[in-house]
Amino acid sequence: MQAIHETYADPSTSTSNFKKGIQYEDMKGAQFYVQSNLKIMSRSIAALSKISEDVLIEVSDSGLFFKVVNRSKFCVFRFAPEFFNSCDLSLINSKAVNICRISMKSAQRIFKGVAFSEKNFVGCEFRIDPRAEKLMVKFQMNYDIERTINAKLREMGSVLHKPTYDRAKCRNTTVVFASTLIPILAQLKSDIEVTMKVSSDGLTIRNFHSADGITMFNMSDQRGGKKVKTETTITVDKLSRHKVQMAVEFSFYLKEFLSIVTFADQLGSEVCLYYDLPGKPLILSIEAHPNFDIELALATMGNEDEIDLDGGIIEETLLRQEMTKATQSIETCSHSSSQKKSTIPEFDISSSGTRSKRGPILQSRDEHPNTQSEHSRNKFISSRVQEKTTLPLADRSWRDNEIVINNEPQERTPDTEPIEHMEVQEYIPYETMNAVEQQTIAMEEDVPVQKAMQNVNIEERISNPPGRQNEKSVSASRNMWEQVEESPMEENQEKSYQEFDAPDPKRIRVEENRNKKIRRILMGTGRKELMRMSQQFNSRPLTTDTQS
Amino acid sequence: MELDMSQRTIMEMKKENVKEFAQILKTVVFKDFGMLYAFSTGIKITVDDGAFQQANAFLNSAFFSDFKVRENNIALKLPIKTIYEFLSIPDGHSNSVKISYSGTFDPLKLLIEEADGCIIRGKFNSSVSDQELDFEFDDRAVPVTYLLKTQVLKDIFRDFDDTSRIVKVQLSKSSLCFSTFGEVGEITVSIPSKSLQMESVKCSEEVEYTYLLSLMHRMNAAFALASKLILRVDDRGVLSCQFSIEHGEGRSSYIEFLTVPTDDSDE
Repeated sequence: MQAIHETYADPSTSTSNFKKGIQYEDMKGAQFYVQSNLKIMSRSIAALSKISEDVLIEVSDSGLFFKVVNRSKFCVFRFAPEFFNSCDLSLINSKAVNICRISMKSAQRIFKGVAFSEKNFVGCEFRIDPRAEKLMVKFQMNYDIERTINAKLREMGSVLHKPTYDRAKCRNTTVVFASTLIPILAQLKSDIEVTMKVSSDGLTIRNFHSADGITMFNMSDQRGGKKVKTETTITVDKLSRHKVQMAVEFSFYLKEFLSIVTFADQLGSEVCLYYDLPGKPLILSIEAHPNFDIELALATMGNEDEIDLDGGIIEETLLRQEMTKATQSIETCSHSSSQKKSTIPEFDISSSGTRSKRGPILQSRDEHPNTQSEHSRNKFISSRVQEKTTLPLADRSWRDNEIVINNEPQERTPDTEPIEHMEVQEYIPYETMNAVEQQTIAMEEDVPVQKAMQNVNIEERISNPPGRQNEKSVSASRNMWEQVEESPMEENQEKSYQEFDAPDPKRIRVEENRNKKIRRILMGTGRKELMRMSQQFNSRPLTTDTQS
Repeated sequence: MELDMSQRTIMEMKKENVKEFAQILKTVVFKDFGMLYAFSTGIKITVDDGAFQQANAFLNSAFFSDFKVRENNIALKLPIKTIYEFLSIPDGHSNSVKISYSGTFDPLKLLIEEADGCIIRGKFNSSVSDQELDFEFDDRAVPVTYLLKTQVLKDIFRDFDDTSRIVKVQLSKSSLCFSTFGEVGEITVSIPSKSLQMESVKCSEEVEYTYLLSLMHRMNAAFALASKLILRVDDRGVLSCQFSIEHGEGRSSYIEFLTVPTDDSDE
């Protein structure tokens, strides 16, 4: 700070009569000095300004972080110490939480004009002390002019919510140049949400339409759903990397997505998209630079028709059920246990259903040979777990099994429900029964076979006991379940897959009804469901609820 | 309108390239009415807000292609904002304006002639001059004088934090600092004396005064047009900014802003 004293006209001596208040030069805290990368910082604030009203600034040994949170959206910009020309973190207590908050307007005002008149700016020094009341930013401009900003910090909320998403759990990855995406998204600018549909051939982005014509806009409501429908497909050859384990289709908010993609486009870099089923977060990250990276996590939702109003609790608990059964059945069939170890490969969408899991293992990956983007040189990424996603052993939900009645190779449809790891024990009574009874409607022997196979694989993936706990709470119903399950398990080992010739229409019927059922559970309409509701409290096993 | 020999005007002038004239007027017209004083050497246009600020534009006779003033003490109160709008009507540079005034109770007549033959006539009624604000700026009691280029200062003034009510100006031998106190906090811009933007500094005493930001903003247009600025304060804190505008061929015009400091204490 001493050096700066000299050039800064030494206010303490000349105008000491007038100057009151703290001597800003004595600020403690982390010091960052940046020259050429200042433009990137100002653009990052511009990008973040579209996401939230506040910026959280965090200082740590690994650098400077700008984080924003807004409801279901989370974005973080990380600047490594190497991003800055010089960086002094000595005064920061690395064990403490070093986060401070400034309003987005302040942040924008600090960087006002930097992006446009970058030639006027020579360098910038940040002095950030998360515990102080002010944040100091000193710009050195041409002609020796200096601009010092002492920005007021806002109070921090007492609870900092940590986002809970894991990039490694996303089973689909796409890497594409931002410049490819920009013109597509520019067309959709007027939409709040967009739908993205992914298959092994490519990526399709279209504006969000809802089946019943009601969208976020009141306008289109009046127009009676006459919104212009725009759809663009990017084929795999335009994508740098496209690893899709299952075709998915989901929707998300465009504004934040576009602002980060615009930022990437200004840098001329690629964006990496990590996503999974609808309901799982979409993670957009920019990893091309060694010294900084950006990560944006957006919530996604599936198509309205298939939306699970319960948020996937039902499927999840069923999955748990299966898993616990799988663990039981594993003891009984050693063959399958050895089998599961070998069925690790990624699931190729186009392969025929569950056959592949047991039959000759199809090692075909869905990555295209022409480009494989290098592992990012980004220091943040390399320090984490390897980018490869965890290989799912079962990427079919409980739902699929029902559909498999006719044993057609089941494409990963948008209908697949999100599998979320939630434990909601009270729902178990319903769904266990649901699954059971639906299986009884279908060909009883067939479906559990499929299910059993899945169970085996699920067990690998989710190897925690909660499923067992769930199981305990529904003892009576389980018995029935187990009976259904275990008998076919034995059959499973010996026989290969049978051909099932169930008629097509049946499949559709099952789906529709299940949707309604799920909705009714929550809405509480319908006589049958009322009965079920009361069952909850009695924890009596439900009688077979016949689906008409 | 032809000059009627039977009716002598007490002043008349002609100016080529109306745009130039309009631009200069724009820098001073922050109020609807202003005063026009005509002398044999040129004209002075004065606008003031009655309490805090006064702007003067000095256009000497060389600015005009034809300049005749036949009387002394010509002082007219005119709707100069309207005159400015009138002068902004024509586009391009190949036009000219003739200004004539026949005496009290007669309107000020303006005639614009464009290259394509289009003629625009205007008559503006004058009134008796109000009491003029005299800032009593004492040229001798000036502790600090800076001669600066306007290039960067223009951006500095434009980028002042709008949420701040005041600008604190610290004038010292080593630098000139402007501070604003707004929503974001305190923003200070300092121009050291050694900067290339600063051509000369004369400082006998280091002082600091506060001015209202809204008054400073009135000078933005002048910054845009001028090439150099002389910044002075007198011993009461009245800020005098004298802008020099080059028209080429050695001709120049001057604009002066006199601003009174506020009494509020700093934040």
